[in-house]
Amino acid sequence: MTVDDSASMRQMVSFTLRKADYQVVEAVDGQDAVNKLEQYKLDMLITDLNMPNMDGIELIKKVRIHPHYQYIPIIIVTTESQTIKKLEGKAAGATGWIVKPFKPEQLLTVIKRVLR
Amino acid sequence: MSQETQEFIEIFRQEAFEHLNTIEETALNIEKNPDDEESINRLFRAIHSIKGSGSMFGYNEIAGFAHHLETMLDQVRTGMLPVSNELINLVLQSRDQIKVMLADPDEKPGEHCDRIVKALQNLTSPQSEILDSRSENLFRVQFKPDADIITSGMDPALLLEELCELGTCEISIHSGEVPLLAKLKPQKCFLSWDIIISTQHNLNAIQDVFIFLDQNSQVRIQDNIEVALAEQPLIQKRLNTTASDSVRISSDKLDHLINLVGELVIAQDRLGQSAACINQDDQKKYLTGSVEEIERLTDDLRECALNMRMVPLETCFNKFRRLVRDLSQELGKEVELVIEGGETELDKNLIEQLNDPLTHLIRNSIDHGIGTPEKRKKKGKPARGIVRICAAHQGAKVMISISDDGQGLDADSIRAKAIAKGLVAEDVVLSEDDLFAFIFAPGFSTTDQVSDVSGRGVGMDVVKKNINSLGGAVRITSKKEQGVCFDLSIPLTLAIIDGLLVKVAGLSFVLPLEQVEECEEIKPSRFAKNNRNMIRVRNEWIPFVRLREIFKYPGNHPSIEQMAIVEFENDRIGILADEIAGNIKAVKKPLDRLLRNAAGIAGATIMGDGFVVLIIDIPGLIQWARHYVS
Repeated sequence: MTVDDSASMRQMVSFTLRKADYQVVEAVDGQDAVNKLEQYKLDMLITDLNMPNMDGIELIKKVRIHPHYQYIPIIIVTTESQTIKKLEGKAAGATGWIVKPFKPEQLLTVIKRVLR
Repeated sequence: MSQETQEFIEIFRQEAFEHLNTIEETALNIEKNPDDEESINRLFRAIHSIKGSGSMFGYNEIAGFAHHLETMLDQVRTGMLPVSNELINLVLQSRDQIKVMLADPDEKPGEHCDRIVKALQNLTSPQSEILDSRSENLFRVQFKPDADIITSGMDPALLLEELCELGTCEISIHSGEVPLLAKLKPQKCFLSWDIIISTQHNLNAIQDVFIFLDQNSQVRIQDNIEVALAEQPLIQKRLNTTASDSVRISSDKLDHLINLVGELVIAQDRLGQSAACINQDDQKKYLTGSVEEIERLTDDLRECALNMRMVPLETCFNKFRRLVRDLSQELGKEVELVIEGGETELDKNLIEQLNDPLTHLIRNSIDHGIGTPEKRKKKGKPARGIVRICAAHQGAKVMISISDDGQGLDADSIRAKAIAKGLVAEDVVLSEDDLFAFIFAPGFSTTDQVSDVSGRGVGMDVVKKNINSLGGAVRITSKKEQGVCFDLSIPLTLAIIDGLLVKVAGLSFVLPLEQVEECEEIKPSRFAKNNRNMIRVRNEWIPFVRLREIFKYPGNHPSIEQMAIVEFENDRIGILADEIAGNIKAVKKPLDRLLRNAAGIAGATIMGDGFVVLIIDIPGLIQWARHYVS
C-alpha cells in the first residue's frame, strides 16, 4: 500500500511498483490507510509523513499494533534526509526510509532490501 | 547532455590529468627504486581511478585501455611481474596514450593504441584471470541484530541474502544466546552471524546493506585484514599529507580575485591621499585612524590573496624527470635529475611561464653539457651525469639554479665564435663571465652540428628574454670540465609591486622597489669629469643613466638630482631622476598590444589620483641604454 496525499506521488509509486509486478493499493492519508488495513492483506507499507487527517507517524503506530501487521516492512518517504524525522519514524516502527526526490529504480532497490 | 553532466565530465577530466601526472611521477620513482611499494600502489590506484571514472563518464575507450594497464600492474603489485625498463616504458607510453584519448574522446584509438595494448598483453602473464579474482576485496562482517528487529519489519535473512548477492559469502551463525524452548519468544531474534565475504564491491556497498538497521543492532565490518595491516604505515602517511583540507577553485576565479584586490589596493591608496588632504584637525584624526586600519587590512588581504596563487615549484620540476629520462635515453647518455627545494612556492602564473625557459636549459645541459658514459669515464668522471635543479627563497625572490657536471663552457670557442660573428673586436680582452654572456646573444650557438634536441642557437636569447620579462635575471657561471650553472632569480609575484615613484620633467614613473638598493641626492660635483656617465658613490665609480636623456625630455635637469641605485647582473647602476616622490603600491597592468614591446617599460599602473604612470623595466632600460650609448 502506498499512502500519500499527493496524487502524483501515489501515481509514481504505483506505476513503478506495478511495472515491477507488485500489486498496489493506494490511500490518500493515514485515516484512509487505516480504514483499508482490514480490507486488504498487505505485505508492505510505503507512507508519506506529512498528511492531513492522520500523519505517517500516527499511521505507523496504528499499523504496528494491528495483529496482522506487526512484522511487515514499512518504508517512510521523507522530503529531506532529516535525521530527526527518520528517527521518529524508526521509533514508531518504520523499517526504512527513502528520500524524496527518488528515481523509480531507487524505490525498487529499497523495496528489495526489505521485502522478500 | 545536461549542464550537470558536462560539469562532472570537466571534473573527471581534471582529475584524470592529475592521475596522469601521478602515473608519470610514480613510474619514474619505480624505475629508480623497483621495490618502492608505496609508489607501485599509488600508480595502481591512479590507473584504477581513471578506469573506474572513465567508464562512468562515457570515456569507454579509456576505461578499456586502462584495464589492460591495470591488469599488468596488478601482477607487478602482487610480485608476479618484475619491474623492467620495458615495463616502465610501456607505462609511460600508455599514460601518453590516455592523455591523447582524454583530449579527444570521440576519435577512435588508432594503430598506436593497439600496439601498446598488444605489448601490455604480451608482458602480462596469462594467469591474469586467476589474479583478477585475487584483487577482490575481502571483508569480515559481524552482525548482531537487536532482539526486536522483526517488529520493525526487518528480516535479517533478507540482509544475509543481499550480502550473498554482492559476492561469495561464508556465513556462520552464533546461536548461543537462544534460550530454552520454554522461554523462547518467537518474535524476538537471538541469533547473530559472522560473514566472510569476498566481493568486487567496496566497503560502501557492504555498509549500504545495513543502512536501515536500528541503532541497537550491531554491525562491524572489517576490511581485508592482511591488506589493512600492510597498508597501515601508508595510510598513516596519506592521512598526514591530506590533513589540511583543500578546496578546488578555477584559476580564473583566483585571477579575478587578485585583480579585485589590486583595485582595492589602488582605491585604498586614493583614500589615504584624500584623507591626507583634509584640513580640519578633528575630522582628520578620526579619518586617519580608520584609513590606517583599512590600509593594514588591505595589505593583509593582498598578501593572503597572492598566497593563494602560490604553488610549490615541484609541480613544474617533476615534469622534467620525464624529459631527462626520455632525452638521455634518446642520446645514449646516463643522466640523473636531482631536484632540491621543490617545496619552494611561487606565483602559479610565473611558474607556467618558467616552464619553457627551464625546459630549454635542462635540454641544453643534457645535450651539450653531459657527455656519453664512455667520454665521461675517459675523463675520470662517473658514467652517470647529474643535472641538478635547486630552488630557494631569497628575500622577495626565488632563486632557481640549474647546474650540470658536464664539460662546461669553452671560453675560447665562445670567444672565437663571438669574433667570427662580429660581436666583439679581436683585440678586446674579456673576462670569462663576459664571454659566457655571449651565449645569450640572439643566434649564438657553439655546437658544430645542429641536433634534434638543441643547438639551433635559438633559445638561449629567448630564455633570457623570458626571464627578464618576468622581472627576473639569469646569470651563468661555468668551470671547464666541472659543468655549467645557470642562476635564475625570479620575483615572487607579478601582480602587485612595491614601487618607487620618481618624477622627470613633471611626469611620474615607477621603479620596482625590489630592484632599488638605495637612493641618494646627487650634486654636480659627483660626476666624473670625462663625461662618461659615471658617478662616484662612496669609493666606487658606477655607471648611471639619466631618465630625462633616455626618454628625450626637453629642458635641463635640475642642478640637484636624485639617484636610485639598482643592481643589475652583478653591477650597480644609478638611475637619475629630477625628484623622488615616495613609495607606492602599484598594480601592474600590461600595456596595449602595440606598445607591449616598448624597451624599458614593464607596464603601467593607475595612481590613486587616476593618472596612468609607466612602470620601468629596469633590466630592459639598462640594456636599451647600453645600446643607445654605443
